[in-house]
Amino acid sequence: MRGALRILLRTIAVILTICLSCVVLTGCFTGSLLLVDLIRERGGSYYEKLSDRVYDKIRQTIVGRAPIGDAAAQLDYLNRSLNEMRDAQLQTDEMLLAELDSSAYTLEEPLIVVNPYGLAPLSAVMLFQTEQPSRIGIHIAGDTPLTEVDYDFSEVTTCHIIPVYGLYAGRENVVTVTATEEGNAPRKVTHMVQTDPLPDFLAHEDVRTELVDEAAYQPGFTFTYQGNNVQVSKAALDANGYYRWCLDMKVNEFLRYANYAANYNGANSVFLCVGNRYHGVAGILEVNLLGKLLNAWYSPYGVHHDIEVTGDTLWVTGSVSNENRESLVYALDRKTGEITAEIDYTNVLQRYRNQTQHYPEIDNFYSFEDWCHMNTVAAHGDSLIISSRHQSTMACSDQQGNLKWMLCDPQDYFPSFQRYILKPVGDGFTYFYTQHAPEVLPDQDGDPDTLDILLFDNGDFRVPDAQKASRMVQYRINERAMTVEQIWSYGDGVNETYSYRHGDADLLPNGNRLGSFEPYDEKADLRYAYGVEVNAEGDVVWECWRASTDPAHWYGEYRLERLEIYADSANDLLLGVPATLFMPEEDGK
Amino acid sequence: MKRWMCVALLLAVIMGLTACGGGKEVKDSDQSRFTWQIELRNSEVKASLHTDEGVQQYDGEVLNVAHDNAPSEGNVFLILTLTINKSAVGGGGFDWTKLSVRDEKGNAFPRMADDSFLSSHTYHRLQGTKLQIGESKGSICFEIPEGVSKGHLRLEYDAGDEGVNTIAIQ
Repeated sequence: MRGALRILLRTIAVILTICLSCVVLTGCFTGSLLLVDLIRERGGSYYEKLSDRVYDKIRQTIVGRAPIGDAAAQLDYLNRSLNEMRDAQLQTDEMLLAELDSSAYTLEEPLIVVNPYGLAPLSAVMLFQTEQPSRIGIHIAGDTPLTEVDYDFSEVTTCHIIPVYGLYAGRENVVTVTATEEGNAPRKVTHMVQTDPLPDFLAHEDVRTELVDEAAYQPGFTFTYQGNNVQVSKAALDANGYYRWCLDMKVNEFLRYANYAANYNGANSVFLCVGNRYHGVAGILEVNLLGKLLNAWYSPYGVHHDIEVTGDTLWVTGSVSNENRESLVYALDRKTGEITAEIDYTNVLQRYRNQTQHYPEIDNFYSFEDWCHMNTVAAHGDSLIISSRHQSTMACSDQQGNLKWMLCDPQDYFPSFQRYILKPVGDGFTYFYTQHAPEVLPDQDGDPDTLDILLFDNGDFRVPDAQKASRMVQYRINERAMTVEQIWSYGDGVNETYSYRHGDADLLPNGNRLGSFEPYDEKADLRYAYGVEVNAEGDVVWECWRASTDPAHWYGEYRLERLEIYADSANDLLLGVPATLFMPEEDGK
Repeated sequence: MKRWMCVALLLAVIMGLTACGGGKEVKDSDQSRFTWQIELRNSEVKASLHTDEGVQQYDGEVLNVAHDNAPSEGNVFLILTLTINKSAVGGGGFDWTKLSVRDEKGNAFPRMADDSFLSSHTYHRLQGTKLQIGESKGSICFEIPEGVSKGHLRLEYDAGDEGVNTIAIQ
C-alpha cells in the first residue's frame, strides 16, 4: 500500500514537472511572438502616421486655395497616385480578361462584376462568350417606361465585354440581355444584378422631382456637377429623381480631393481635375463611366471652373499666379500633353475695373487677386468665348487674345473698350450680371452673321433696388453689326430661385432648356439645387429639388446636363489598355 | 512491475490532458483547398464608432463633422479586416450570404446588411455585392451580442462542394 502511494506521488510529481516545463516554454514562445508583433505594429503605425502627416500636408496643399509647400512634392504625389491607379486598374483588367478567356461564361451564365474599379457603384461589366458571332442588346428595367435604359451594341463578336449602366442603388436590378445571331431568332436572358446602397454623399440627400409633362421631357439622365467640398463626386439622376450612375471618389484617397470642374463629354467619358484650384500643380483626368482611367494630363496653372473639350484640344481655365487668379485660358493638346496656347486675359480685359464699387450694400466679392473669376471658356470656330463673373462680361477673342466683341454692361469700361461692346437692340433687353456657363447654340436663324448664346444670368446687382432674380437668357449676337438682341429668358423676377453663384443653362435636343439654379433659403439656412426643364414658351416640363440632410455635404450644384447614359463611341471599355499619363519627368520637362 | 505501472499511469494522464485541452481549439482551414481564399488580417470589437472629419467648404473653411454609429443595445460591432483572393478563374462569386461569424454554441451571425458607415470611420469597406475577381482587401462589420464577443469565435464561409472555410477569430 505504502509502495503504491509512493508510486502515485512520484507519478504526479513527474506530470507536474512536465506540465510546468510546457507552460514555461510556451510562455517564452508566445511572449516573443507578442514582442515581435508589438515592434512590427509600433513600427508600422509610426510609418503610417509619418506618411499620413506628410501627405496630409500635401493633400491640403493640393486642395487648398493657395499653394503651400513644395510644388515638386505635389507633382510627386500626383505622379505616384496616377501610376498606382493605372497599375491597379490594369491588374483588374487582366483578371477580367483571364476570366473571359476561360470560356466559363455564357449568355445564360455570364460573369457580372459590379463596380470593377471600385469607383462606380451603380455600374457593372458583363463578360461572356457566344458560340456564334452575335450582336448584343441590353435593357435595364426602370420604375417607369421613361426611366428604362435600352441600348444596342454595334459590334458583332463571340467575346462580349458589355458595360452595364443605369443600375438602381441597393436593389436587385433586372437586366435583360439579347443576343442576335445572323439567321437566328434573338435569344433573351434576364439577370438579376444586386448593387450596394447609395454612397454616403448621395444617401444624405433629400430629392424631390415633379414630372409635369412626360411627353415633352427630353429623354436621358440629368448629370450633375455636385459639390463645393472635398467630397465632390459626379452623378446622374433619372426623371423620377433616382440616382442611376455615380463616381464615388471618396473611396479613392487621391480622387477624393478632386474639385468640381469637370466635363461629361457627351457621356463618352468624364473629365475630372485634381490639384490646385488656383495657380499650381494640377492634373486633368479622363475616365470612362466605370471609373477606368483613360488619360491624365499635367498642368502647372491649376484648374478651377471649366474644361472645354474640342477635338484634340482641352481648353482650360486657370491662373497665372495666386496674386492674379482665374484670368488665364490655356490649351492642352490631348495627344501630347503639351500646353499649346496661353491667353492671359489680364492683357485683354480691363484689369482694374470694379463693378461692385457702385453698390456698397452688396457683399463685395470682387478682389484685386480675383478680379476676373473666369468660369467658362467656349470654343467657337477659331474664336474663344470666355465668361468673367467678376466683370459680368462675356468676351470673344481669337486664340491669340485679340478681342472681337464684348457682351456686358459698358459702365466703367475705358473708352478703348467701348468699341468692342455690343450695342443692345430690340425690346426687353437686359444685361446679365455675375453670369455662368455661356454656351454657343447651333444656328437658330439661318443668318451666317449671327450666333446665339444661352447662359445663366445670376443677376447680382442688376439694379440695386430691384428684387434679385436669376434667369436663363438667350442672346443673339450679330458679329457684323456688333449688336445684341435678347431672344428668350426664363426666371425673370423670381426671387425664390435667385442664385448668387453657380448656375447653368443648356439647350436640349428637343428644343427645351435645362436650367440649374442654386437658391439659398435664408429661413432654413439651407442652400439647395433646383433643376428645371422648360419648353420654349417657358412652361415647366420637369423640376427637381435636391438638398443635403448632412452638414458634411453643405450643398453645391455647379451645372447640369441631360445625356443618354450610353454613348456610341464609349462602348469599348479598353480592358488591358493602360492609361496614358502625360506627366512631366522629375526635372519638370 | 512498479515501473510499468508508473509509465502506464503517466501515459494515461498525458493522453487525458491532451484530449481535454484540444476540444476548444479551432483549426484554420487550409486555404489552398479553396477557390476563394480568406486571410483575416485584423479583428476589432467596438462598442461604438466615432470619427471627426474635416470637410473643406467652398470658401476654404474647414467644417468639422462628427460621424457616430452604434449597434443595438446589448450588441457590439465586430469589425474584421480581410484579404479575400480568388485563386483560379471560373467558378462562382464570393457570396457574402454564405459568410458568417459563429460562436461556441454554433450560433451564426451574418455580415450587416448595410455596413457602409465603415467608410466614414476611415475603414476601407469591402463592397456588399458579390466579389467576382481578384484580390479584395478591406473591412466588414458584424453586429453580435456583447457576451458572444468575449468567447471563441470563428469565421466560416460555406464554399459549397469545397467545404466550409473556417478561420479562428483571435
